Parts: sequence; structure tokens; C-alpha cells
Amino acid sequence: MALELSGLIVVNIAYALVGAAAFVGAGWVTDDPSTWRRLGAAYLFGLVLLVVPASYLALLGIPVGLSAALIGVAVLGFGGWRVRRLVWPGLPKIRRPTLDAAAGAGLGVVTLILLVYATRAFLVRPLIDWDSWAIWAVKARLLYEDHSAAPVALRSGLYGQTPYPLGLPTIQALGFGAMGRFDGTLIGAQFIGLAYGFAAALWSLLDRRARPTAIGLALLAILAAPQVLYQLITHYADVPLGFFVGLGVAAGAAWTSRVDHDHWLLACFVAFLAMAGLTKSEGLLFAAAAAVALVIAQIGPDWRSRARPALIAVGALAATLLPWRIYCSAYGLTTPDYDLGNALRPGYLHTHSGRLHPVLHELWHQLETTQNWGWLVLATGLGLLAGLLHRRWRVSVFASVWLALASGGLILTYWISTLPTENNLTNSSFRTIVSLLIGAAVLLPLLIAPLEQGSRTQ
Amino acid sequence: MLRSAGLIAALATAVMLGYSGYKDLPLSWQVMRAEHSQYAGYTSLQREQAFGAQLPVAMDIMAWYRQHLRPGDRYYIQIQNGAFGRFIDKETAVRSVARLYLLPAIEAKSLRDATVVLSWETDPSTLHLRYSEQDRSGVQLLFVSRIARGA
Repeated sequence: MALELSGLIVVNIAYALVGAAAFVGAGWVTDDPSTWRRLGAAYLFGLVLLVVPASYLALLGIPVGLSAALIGVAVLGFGGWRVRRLVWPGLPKIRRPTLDAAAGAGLGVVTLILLVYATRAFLVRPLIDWDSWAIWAVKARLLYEDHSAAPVALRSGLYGQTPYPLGLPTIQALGFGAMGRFDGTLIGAQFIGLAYGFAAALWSLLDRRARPTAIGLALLAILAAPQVLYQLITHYADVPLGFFVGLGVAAGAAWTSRVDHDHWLLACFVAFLAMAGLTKSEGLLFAAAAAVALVIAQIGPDWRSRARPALIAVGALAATLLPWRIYCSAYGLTTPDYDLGNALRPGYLHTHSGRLHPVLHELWHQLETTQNWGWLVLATGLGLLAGLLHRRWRVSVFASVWLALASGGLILTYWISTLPTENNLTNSSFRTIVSLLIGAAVLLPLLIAPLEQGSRTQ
Repeated sequence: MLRSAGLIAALATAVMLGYSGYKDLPLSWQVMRAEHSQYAGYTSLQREQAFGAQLPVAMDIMAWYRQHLRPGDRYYIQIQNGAFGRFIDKETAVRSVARLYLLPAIEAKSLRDATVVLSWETDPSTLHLRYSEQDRSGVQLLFVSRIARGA
């Protein structure tokens, strides 16, 4: 077990190094120590940088380990070439932290202790939940064990639902490769790794744009919500999806709150939402909602200077997700559960309007179940109100549009579903709302406690 | 006035987040402790077979199949369908478990594409195929039959 775990740790360190190299290579992390705080997002950024192309190349029968290794070496080389030109400025001066920074750090430490404690459970819980093995692990093991047979087998409909993208199975397959064998239990370490990565990345994305205490409170409320760690330990895809959606949305809102002229936040917006779109089918919905929210939130005085980078980011996101849609169309990989075209047919929607009430009732019931999610829903409502009352228009518009489109889209998906409401809803509603809740909660620090440029946080 | 209301809403949000974390932390801690104590004592074999065993599918049969399969094999499961559980039938349960457990051997989409027949409480002779090799598990109707292709 120790050897396998070491392999997994090594590949995760590699993700962080690749992310850091990409940041250095792109000039987002320089010899200015203030940019070093961005490195918190390096681990998951690096993971996305390797997993997204590897998951696409796997469709051509190319081993995920080979493509990830080659891309990783190229990115490390690029970063290494740039790092030689940097001048080491020496260690930054550590100033006495403010009360705000100390409180934020304290909350971060409490969250970290919870994750460390949870890790030992993630290392021993076997694969037992249906979707996690019958859909995700089987795809992952197929990619790991027989890359050349995988494309045909994945399209056959026998190895998990065909229109489900390969983001999460690729992460797992890379983990199996690093461990040297398939191990459905130990791969749990990779799942808890995503939680650590989420915490670090969220801190970096919101750093200097929201008060540390608010970031710490949001982070603790999200990761301590009992359903988050419980669903994550089952190896379902919904919490990983929620993490990537949350980080993408946080990056978009942070950029909207104050533009960073080197576009690091927009790069994170694209990367994390691309990963969300390739993690689960509904990830595409949440990513599209964020793309619309990003563009709409730029309307206003600086539209001309803001619109161009926002539209380029949306274009890059679409370009990353489009090949999967094209692949699905080319091979006729569709779900029998719903026909998206029905969402645009008023006649169909009217005929099936009887589904709307149970759908709304069940989704709201799940959202307001405080023993699962704490008070995140109430906090979201209050946070939006605070943002509007303080006239933080752009972030409030971003949050409102994203929430309206994401939740509206989710309702519509259940409305047009051909599955019976009882079965379909109760089996999935507690999972599909995860991204909504995480996505909403990560916006709260920007809504309730934004920081102006130049504010001292530590 | 609006600013004061905004400040109150912001403070209330922070309180809600803090209260959520304060209330939920012990619950999540408890959930993780329960998960650890439930599974920490599992052997590696129990962990490997847990997903099928909890359905329950007889994993000793799956292990026996796996012993007789080779990488690159395309297998077909011959099974009489029947009632199994509330949500799935017997055939779906067995095939689903096999797909994960028997990798790198891959399930063939049809008998025509298969190189091996795995018979689950069924007689492979009823398929009217010629087999180049056949293994039987004791006197049970469990067979691994390698299909003779060509002349």
C-alpha cells in the first residue's frame, strides 16, 4: 500500500509542478513575490492542463499516461526556460498579520484539520456505490488497462453511459498508472486530494479580492457540509464537478470584481470550467451559465476594455469543450434519458408540465436540508442581498445570472427527462445540486467582503 | 440606509457561514470517523470485491472466471436472467460487476464477437458452439469455454 500511495503522491506533486511551470511560463508568477500567492491554484491547474488533453487523446487510443507525461515535460521545459530569466528577489518580508488575516488563516487551519482527519477514511473505504464503480471506475480501469480497446469499448454502451465525458476517469486512470495497478480503494486519496486542491485554489483566486475571514468562512462552510465529504468519499463525480465549477465561477467573479491585466483569472476560469464540462454532462450547463454570466456582468462603463478578454475567454472555453460535443454527435452518443431539443419545444414542455411541481419540490427540499448542507442556501440569499444593497453590481449580476441559468437549466433537464420523476429525482437530486451550492457559496466572499485594490490583507 | 441594510445582510451572511461551519464540522467529523471504523478492518480481498459483494454477486465465481481469462480476451456471459433486486435484474448485476472485475478482459457486444464464453449456472453446450478449451468449476454449472474459431 505504501508503494502505491507513494506513486499517487508523486503524480500529484507532478500536477502541482506542471501548474507552477505553466504559471511561470505564462508570466503569471514572476520574481514579484505578490504573484507567488497564485501558486495555491497550481496543483489543480496543472491537473487540468494534463487531464483535459489526455482525456481527448484517449479517444484516439493513446495511453493517458503517455500523453500526460509528454505534455507535462513540455510544460515543465517551458516553465524552466522562463524561470532561468527570473531574478530571485529573496524571501519576502513577513509582516505582522492583521486580525482579518489571522482569523482567515485560523479558519483555513480548522478546514485543513478536517481534511487531514478525513484522509484516513478515504484511504480505507472501498468502492461500493453503484455509479462510482459501474460508470466511473469501469471507464477509468478500461483507460488504464487497455488503451487501444478503450475507444470502441467506451462507445459500445457496455462500459458506463456513452455520453459521459472522460475527465474524471482520466484522473483516476492516471492515478492507477502512478500506483502501478488498479486499486478502487486507494484511489480515494486522489479524491481527497481534489478537496485539498480546491481549498488552496479558492484561496488563491479570491486572494486580495475578498477579506480572508470571508474566504475562510466560505471554505469551512463548504467543506464541512456533511454531504460534501460524504459524497466525495463515494467516488461519485458530483463533488469533483462542484469543485471545478466552484473554482471556475470564483475565477470569473473575481476577474469581474477587478480586472487583472495579465488575465490569470480568466485562464483559471477557462481551465476549471473546461474541466467541469469534461467531468459530467451537466458540467457543460454550469460552464455555459458561467460564460453567459461573465459576458453580461461586463456590461457597463468599461464594456469596451472588459468585453474583449471576456469574449476571448468564453471562446477558449467553447473551443475546449466543443471537440467532445462533436465526438458525441459523430458517433451518435446520446442519452436515452432526455432529448435536449425538447427544451425548445413549448408543446412538449406544456404536455409534461405536470413534472414541474415535483421537480421544484424535490430540488428545493434537497437544498434546504440543513443537516446535509448547513445554511448555505440562506447564506447565499443574504449574500446576494448584501451585494445588491452595497451596489456591487458587477459581482451581483454575475452571481444572479449564473445562479438563475444554472438552476433554471437543472430544472429544465429534469422537466424534459423521460425517466419517472420519483426514481430519477430521488436518485440524483441530492447530487446534482452540489455544483449549485458550491458555486453559490464561493461567490459570497466577493459579495459580502470585497477588498479594494491595495488593501492590506496581512 | 441602504448601506446599513447591506452591512447587516453581509454580517448575517458571515454569521450564517460561520454557524454552518460550526454546526457541520462535528457532523462531518462523525461521518468520516464512522466510514473509517466501518472499513478499516477490511482485508485487501474484501476491498477488491466489495462493490460486487454488497449487491450481492458471488465474487468467488468472478474470481474463478478471472483466473481463466487472458488479457485481450473478449468474453460473453451466458446467463439465465431472473429476479435479483429492487432496481436491477440478475443479468444486469452479473454483467455490470464482471465489466469492472474482469478487466483487462473486455465484454463482447455479442456472442459473435466473443473469444470466450463465461457460463453462469448455465450449460454452454446449449449455445451450439465448438470450444477449443473448457474449464468447469467442480460440478457446478460454471464454465469458461474458449471458442474454437476458423476451420
